[in-house]
Amino acid sequence: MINNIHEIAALTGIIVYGISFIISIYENKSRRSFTLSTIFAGISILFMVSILIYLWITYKRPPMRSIGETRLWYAFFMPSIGLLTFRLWKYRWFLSYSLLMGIVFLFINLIKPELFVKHLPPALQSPWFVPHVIVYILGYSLLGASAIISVYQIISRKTRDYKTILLSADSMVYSGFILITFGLLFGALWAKVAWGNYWSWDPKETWALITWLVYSIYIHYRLKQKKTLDHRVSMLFLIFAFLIVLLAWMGMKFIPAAQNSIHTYG
Amino acid sequence: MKRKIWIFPWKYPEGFLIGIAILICGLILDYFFLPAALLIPSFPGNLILLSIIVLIASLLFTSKGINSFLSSGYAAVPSIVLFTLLVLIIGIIPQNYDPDNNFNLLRNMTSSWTFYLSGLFMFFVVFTSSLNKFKNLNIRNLSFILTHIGISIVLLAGGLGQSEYKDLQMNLFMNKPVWYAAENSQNTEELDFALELNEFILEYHNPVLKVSYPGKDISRMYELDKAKKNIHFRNFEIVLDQLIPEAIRSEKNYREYKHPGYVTAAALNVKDNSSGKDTNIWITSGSRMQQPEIYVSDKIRIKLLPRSPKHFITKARLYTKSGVNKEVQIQVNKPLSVQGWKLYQQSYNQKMGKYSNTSVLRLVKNPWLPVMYVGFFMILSGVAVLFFIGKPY
Repeated sequence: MINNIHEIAALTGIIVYGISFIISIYENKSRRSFTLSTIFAGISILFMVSILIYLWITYKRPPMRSIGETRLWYAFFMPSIGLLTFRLWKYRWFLSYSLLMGIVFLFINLIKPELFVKHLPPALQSPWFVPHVIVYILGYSLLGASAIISVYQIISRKTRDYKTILLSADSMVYSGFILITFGLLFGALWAKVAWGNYWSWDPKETWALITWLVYSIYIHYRLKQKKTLDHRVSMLFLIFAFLIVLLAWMGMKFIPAAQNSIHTYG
Repeated sequence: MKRKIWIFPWKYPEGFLIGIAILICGLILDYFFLPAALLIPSFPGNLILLSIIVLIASLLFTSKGINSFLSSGYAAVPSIVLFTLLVLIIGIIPQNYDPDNNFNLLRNMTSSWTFYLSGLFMFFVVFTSSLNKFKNLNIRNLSFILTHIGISIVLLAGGLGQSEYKDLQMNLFMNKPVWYAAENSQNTEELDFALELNEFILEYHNPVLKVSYPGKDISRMYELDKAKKNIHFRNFEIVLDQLIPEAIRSEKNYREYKHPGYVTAAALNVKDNSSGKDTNIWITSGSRMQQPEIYVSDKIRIKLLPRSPKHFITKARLYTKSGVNKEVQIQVNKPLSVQGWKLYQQSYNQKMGKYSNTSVLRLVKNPWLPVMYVGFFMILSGVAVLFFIGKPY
């Protein structure tokens, strides 16, 4: 039963984002320019901004107190930065993807209204929280995409033209790597303010650094590429690198060193 | 024609051999000497060391063969691979932070010569490659210079600044000035200032009620707030009649009790719409002194979740040797600066909750922090420029 502002906002948001998403899919499939998608994405983003401003004024505090409220910010930032990335890096699929991610977060809020009641501990009540998480989600998405096209190329062997596919993968690695660099440094700057030191070799931090270093190896390895064999090695490396991402992101439970991470909040 | 090794231009074989050599040097130094973190001097020794390192880098830059090698992927990849393998050890093997006793390379990696030499190798590669980009200052090279000089600064500041880094814990007690802080269980350090805890404020988020349907694992959470509407859960309607944030049981009811051992108590009217019956109950959160009160029937279970802290603030009086005497505040995400130290709210007596009469602060002194920040901001600007340039090809 819809009986409060959060649920109304989530539902309206899903509709607005949904329309933009469908338009973007249509414009992508019919190879049109993305003018209409961009306009609708812009409207959706403005809608989220107005929700956030409304909540800010109504509650007389920034809407950053519960997990549900942070999801609203995710639903704002994902498509915004996604739209920017899409315009700058020209990934045809990225606008639809970012809008879809916005819908996902709003949908989670709709089906789990108690997220608005799951309060954030003091350390997480910071303007760094959302930017840090968002750039990581988007960055890892792009790195994941580079792994996906590598898997696809290796399995299908559709064209012998590894070089072109690899150039697309490179582009996604560059943009993804830039975003995770932001993520790593935002995390460091936040850690200094919240905990006292910008780096403490905490397992989550260490594995984020390992991920960053692994993609750094890829980028520098690609500088000296010539032969087709190298291209296949590069693609396998991208798949391996994404496994490291998964380990860093979700595998903390399996690593003995990570049991005492300060990144766990219970 | 097969190229002879060590004849310029150097490529991956030379690169990886140098990497292995550096690894071996590190292992030898770690075996025979104290770890690097303990031997790197503090001011002014570390500045002298910094100058020597930059001088060596400049000399390497002047040698054409070495310069072109260090600025290439043939040096970059081995140096990053070596560093990554060491960081991987840090990520897998639990580290202990006491290099003074029982130095073990695998468990004290971040203070080891192996780690420091690997960082130095990376520095030479990163720094030399930046210097070469000055020849052609287009926007792409500008972003390269920013990121790579930024990384060089981070590596140097991280390695050489460590000797001047101080991290202490200070326990404050209510109405008692404290002028010392502890480094670890053995060493305390006297400070040039004192703090006297006057008030410890802990505010909780609104209480949260958890309502569940037994057997089907369906549950919902609701924030208890007198201003809010009634709770509707399945066939039940729950009305909040009274909310006492700090209460104690008094015969069959609860009354206000603003002392340690309190519970949060909510008087609820639970109406079963299918039977029309309603019942008045008390639900409480429980404390060391009192058991929690929950409501269990065959159709519904109601309980109050433990209170979660919204923020906690240390209010103290600061006294310094120079005659300062003023009220200060410290809370999470809002540290206090005193005489080169940064003071962070770390914890409190959690058993006493809001009635904690102690507060634990973390004191950090890091003179190289501004240098580190310059490095961070150069990297951030460099990648931002790269982001706006767009596709690399």
